Order: sequence, then structure tokens, then C-alpha cells
Amino acid sequence: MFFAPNPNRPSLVAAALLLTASGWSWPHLAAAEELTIVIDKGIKSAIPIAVVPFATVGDSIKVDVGEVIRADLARSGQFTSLPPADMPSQPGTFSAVNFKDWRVLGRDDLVIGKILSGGDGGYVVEFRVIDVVNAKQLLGFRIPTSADNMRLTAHHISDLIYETLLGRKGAFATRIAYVTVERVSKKESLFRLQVADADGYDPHTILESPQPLLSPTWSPDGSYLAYVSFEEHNSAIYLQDIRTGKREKIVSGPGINSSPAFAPDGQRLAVTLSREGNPEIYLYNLASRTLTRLTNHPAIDTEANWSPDGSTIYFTSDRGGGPQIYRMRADGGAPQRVTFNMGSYNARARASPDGKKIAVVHGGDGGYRIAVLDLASNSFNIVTDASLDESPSFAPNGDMIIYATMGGRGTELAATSTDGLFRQRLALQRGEVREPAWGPFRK
Amino acid sequence: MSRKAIVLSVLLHVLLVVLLLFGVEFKGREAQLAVPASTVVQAKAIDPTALAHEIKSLKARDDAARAEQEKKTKDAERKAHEAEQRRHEEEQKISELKEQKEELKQEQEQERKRLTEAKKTAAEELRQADEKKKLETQRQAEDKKKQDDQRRADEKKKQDEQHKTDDKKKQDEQRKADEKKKQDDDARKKKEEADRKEAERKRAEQAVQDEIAAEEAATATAAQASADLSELGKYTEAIRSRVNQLFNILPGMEGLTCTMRITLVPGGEVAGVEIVKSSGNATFDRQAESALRKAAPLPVPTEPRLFEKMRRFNFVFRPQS
Repeated sequence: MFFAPNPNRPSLVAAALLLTASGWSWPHLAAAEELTIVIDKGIKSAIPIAVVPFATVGDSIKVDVGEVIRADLARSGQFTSLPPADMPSQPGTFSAVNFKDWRVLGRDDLVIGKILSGGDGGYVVEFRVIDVVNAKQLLGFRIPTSADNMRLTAHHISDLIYETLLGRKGAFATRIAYVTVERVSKKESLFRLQVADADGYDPHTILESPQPLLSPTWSPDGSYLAYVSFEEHNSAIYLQDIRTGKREKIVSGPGINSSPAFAPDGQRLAVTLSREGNPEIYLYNLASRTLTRLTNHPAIDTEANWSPDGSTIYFTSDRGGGPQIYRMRADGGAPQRVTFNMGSYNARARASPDGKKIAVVHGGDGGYRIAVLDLASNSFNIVTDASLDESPSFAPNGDMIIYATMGGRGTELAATSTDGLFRQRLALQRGEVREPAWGPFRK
Repeated sequence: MSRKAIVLSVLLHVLLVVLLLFGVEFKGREAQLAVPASTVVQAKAIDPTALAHEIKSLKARDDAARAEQEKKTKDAERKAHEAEQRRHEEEQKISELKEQKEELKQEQEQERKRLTEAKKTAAEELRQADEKKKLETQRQAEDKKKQDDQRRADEKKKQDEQHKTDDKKKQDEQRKADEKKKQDDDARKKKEEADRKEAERKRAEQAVQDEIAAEEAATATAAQASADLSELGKYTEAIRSRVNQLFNILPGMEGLTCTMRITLVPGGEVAGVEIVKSSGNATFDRQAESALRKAAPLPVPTEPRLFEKMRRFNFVFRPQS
């Protein structure tokens, strides 16, 4: 029914058959005789890949570059990697690749590479991305690096592979910020603000406090973190230079000082303040150090987040009875409710990098999960399935969302693909891990 | 007149008689020389002997007397008549002699002329005789010729007749042959006609059958096409299903469309994949190509005729989100 050799029987042409009557054709087949099969479904599947272990010189490289890449790709949910133990060979050059072997193993793509001495104690990582199915090299690079940066180099390679095979920018060589809570005694906890690689490795504590640390947020250039600290027993908003550790209290006052959110221009922050009695959204200008109130409603307005273009601020408000997501122009104006008929609880909106979606904490069925709302279609998709998931944050490429989830040892970090098809916990840290924030692309 | 002249006259008469006998007509003399017919007949019819016998035999009666009388009368009359005749003859003879005397000169002259004429005549006769002879000869020759001709004619006729006979025979034969031929022809024509009619009938029948066959063929063709369609449909559906299972719609690829053209070899292995129309996204295009290559060998008909319909065709990748 998908074949129509006889133009006189158009009725037999099924909907799935496209007669190539116009637009394109070729001379030696009559249009009516062209057999066309339409593939309108397909699958949404991880790309089967094989990352061959990178041969290395000497013993000084402690990082298994191939393994870092495999994990990156796997974590994205877009790839399934073949364990090295299952590999038929470990070719180091294109000509050494036996395509048949890799095809038999169902691999679409192959990554081969090696680490070479780069002089001056440095190294060069050479790698190739090979299309096994079509038997061609798609990418070849030599990246100079150092032993210390080997992991970051591996993430860079993951980004390049990702972009080559998916056509989208990778976000592996990025960082995340989060707060860990370590219970040091029955009465005392230790709060740490940490920055790590996106895979959770290589964490660096940038602030340690016996008092709660909350709501870290990245400056658009990735140089600063703004956060809430109770170190003075009242909440205050601080801005800290990640590299130097230099910090500054920028907003404080009576009542609540919370939920800082950098504007895309990096010059302003939206914050929640209750200095006038009721939590409202204010705009803090870093240059003028002035505050501008944006909302004025007896209900709670909090958890502001900017649209990528800086024109809109999303926030959480219970002005409708329960917490729901609203939006308003970045210079104020009448708020509009965004989440309708999507349950009784939707809070802490985070806009996707392309501005087309927001991720929210969605309450319902006795729990809290991460949901993604497509703003154009208004489709609402719950993308996690645990009982207490919170603090979603988009990867800068928008393909993943990192969030905190309640695990056996307290809250842990987890990541999900934005479509919710792939989730993985990043159970790396000891203790509780809260409020992850995915940093921007590295400059 | 002299004796000589009389003799000559007699001779001339003889000659005249001869000439008369020979049929030479001298019209001027004939009337004078002719004896009255009745006289001659009477003379012949009355036989005195017979009459005497008759008289004798007849009974004596008046008849006899009358007969005697009549005889006497007649005799007297005859005698008178004879005497008259004799006298008349004498007179006539004298007159004639006179005339003859007169005529002699003329006759002599005429005789001379006649002699000349006779000579001429003799010459003429001679000539005529010669001529006659010649004619005779000629006639004979002619006769002979005629005979010959006749003979020949006869022969010819005979031959002709023979020929005619032959011809007739031939004609008969021919006719018979013709008739036979005609009969044969007729039979043949009849047969041909019958055959023709039969053929026509068969043709008509065949036409109907053909029509039926054509319909059946059309139906069969349609059925074949339908079967092909159905059969190919199985393959294309199997291919579609398989490629659908292999075409990886990567994130953000919804809404893209590309057209790929695949070339297969018998058995379904992929000989080539080319981009007919790119989606504009190299990754999407590559996934489409990969899906096709990964699907190999594609399920294709083993029957060459059907396979040919699937040797080269298009795929449109148009994932619906």
C-alpha cells in the first residue's frame, strides 16, 4: 500500500506514500513510477557509540580520557557506550578500523585517540570521530593540554563528539554549583558552596559556613556566583568571584532576602525581598546598587528567573491560591499566570537557554517532580519520577536538566534529559547535595 | 444455178446442221428451219399399222365404217393436205431457191465471212480448245488441287475435327476439369466460406474470449499490479517499519525533512545512498543515511521483476513529533 507504480490508481496511494510530483525529481524515473517510502516515525534512541581507550605515553596521566568521554556521553542520555571489554579491537588509526566488526556490534560511531607528548611537559590529545555505518571520518583533532587539564580536555572532546554527532553544542566542559550539607554533629551542620565539573568531578568548595547557604546562581559570564547566606543569622545575598573567592554582600535587610537571579546582561539581579512586609520581586542594579520593586501583591511572589532575552521574568506566586508560575515584563507590569491546569503546585521556574521552555518543580500525587512546560505548545511534561525532586537547572545547551532528588542518604544530584527519557544520578558527594545550578558555557 | 452451187448449198446445210448440232446458234435461220411440232407428233402418234390392227380388232359397226370414212376423209384431207403441203413446199422450195440464189451471194459473202469467222472461230475454238484443255488441265489441276485441297481440307477438317474432337475432349476434359474445379472451388469456397464463417465465429468467439481474456488479463494485470502492489506493499511496509525502527530522531530534529535516494542490489544490500534534498542539517541527513544503511539488507522481492521496481527508490524522512 505504499507503492504506486500505476498513476491511474491514485486511490491506492496511501497517505504514507509521497509521490514526488514536484520539488525534486530525476530524469530516468517517471515521477509516477517513483517509489517513495516515508519515514515519519523513527525512534528516539541513544546513539550507539564506542570510545576506544586512548593509548597514552608514560604513567603520569591519571585520567582515563576514554572513560571520561564515555561517561559524559552516557550521562547525556544521547549515547550508549560499549564497554572496552566488549571491543573487538582498539584501533588507534582510521586505517586500522575494521568497520565490519563495529557494525556487527551495532555501533554507529567510533571514537579513537591517543595521548602524545607535547613538549614542555605538556601533552597533545589526538582523536577522531568515525562514522562506522557510512565508513568515514567525521572529525579529527589534536588538542594541546596538560596533565592537570586532562579531564577538562576530555570534556572538551566530549563536547566536540556531541556536536559532531548530534548537531548540538555539548555542555560537558561546563561547571555546576551546588550546596552540600554535612552533618558534623547532632546540632551542627556544615554548609559548603561547591563548584565542580558538570559530571560532578573535581569539586571545589568556594564557601564553607555553619549556617545555611542557599540558592547559588551563576553570573552570565560564569565568573561569579550569587547566593543567599544566613551567616549573619538573617538572610543576605552575596556575590562572590569564583576564581579569587572575593565576596560581597549586595542585598540585605529586614525580612527575607532570597532567590537571586542574574539578568542575562549580568548587570542586574532579580531578588525576593520582604522588607516591605510581603515577599515581592525586586530588581537590583549592580552598578547603581539600587532596588526596584517589580511586584506588588499581598500573596507571596518569589523565585524569579529571567528569560534568556532578558525581557521577561518568571516567578512563583500563590496569588491564585496555590503556588503557580507567573510572568511579567522585566520592567514590571501586570503578571500573567503561566501554569494553568497543570496541578496545584508549580514553583521555581527556570527558563531553558532557548527560552522556549521552563522547568518547574511540580507538586502532585504526594510528591514533587521536575516538569517541563513548552511555552509555545503549553505541553507540560513531567520528566522525573522520584518523590522529592527539586531545584531544576538547565544545562547551557538545554539538553539536560540537573536537579536535586531525595536519595537514600539525603538529597543527591541527578540529571535528566530535557525530554525526560534519560536520567542519571550524580551520586558523587558525601552527604546532602542541594540546589544545583548549571553554569554557562566556558568562555 | 449450177450443180456446184447445189452441192455447196447441201454442204452448207450439212455444216449448218452440224453447227446446229453443236449448238451454235444462228437465230436468223432457226425459225425457217423449224418443223411444226404438231405435225411431227401426229405423225408419230398415228401408227397405220396400229390403226389397221385396231380397225380389224374392232367389231364391224358404224365405227368401222365411220372410221373408214373418217380414214378416207382423213386420208383425203391428208392427201390434200400433203398435196397442199407438197405444193406449198415446192413453192416454198422454188421461193427458197430463189431466195437461196439471192442468198447465195450473200451467203458466199457471208461464207467468206463465215470462213474467216470460222477460221477465227476455229482458231478461237482451237484457242478455246487449248484454253479448254488448258482449262481442263487447269480444271484438272484445280480439281486435283480442289481434291487435294478437299483432301487437305478433309484432312484438315478431319484434323480439325480430330482437333475439335480433341479440343472437345480437351474441352470436355477441361470442362469436366473446370466443372470439377468449379465443384472443387465451390466445395472449397463452400469450405472456405464455412471455414471463414467458422473462423469468423471463432474470431468472434475468440474476440469474446479475448475480451474476456483481456478483461481477465486486465483484471489479472490489475490483479497482478494489485498483487505486485500488495506484494511490494509488504516489502515497502517491511522496509518502512524497519527503517522507522532504525531512524534515530535526535533531539531537536523534529520538523526536519530530507529526501534520500537508495540504490539496492538484488538481495537488498545497499549499493548507494545519496541525498536528493538535504534537510539543511547534516546530522539529520546522516542519521537518515545511517538508518538506510543499517537496514541493509533490506527486505526486497527475490523475483527479479518485482525487485526491479525496488532497485532504486526514495525515502522521505519526515519525523512527526
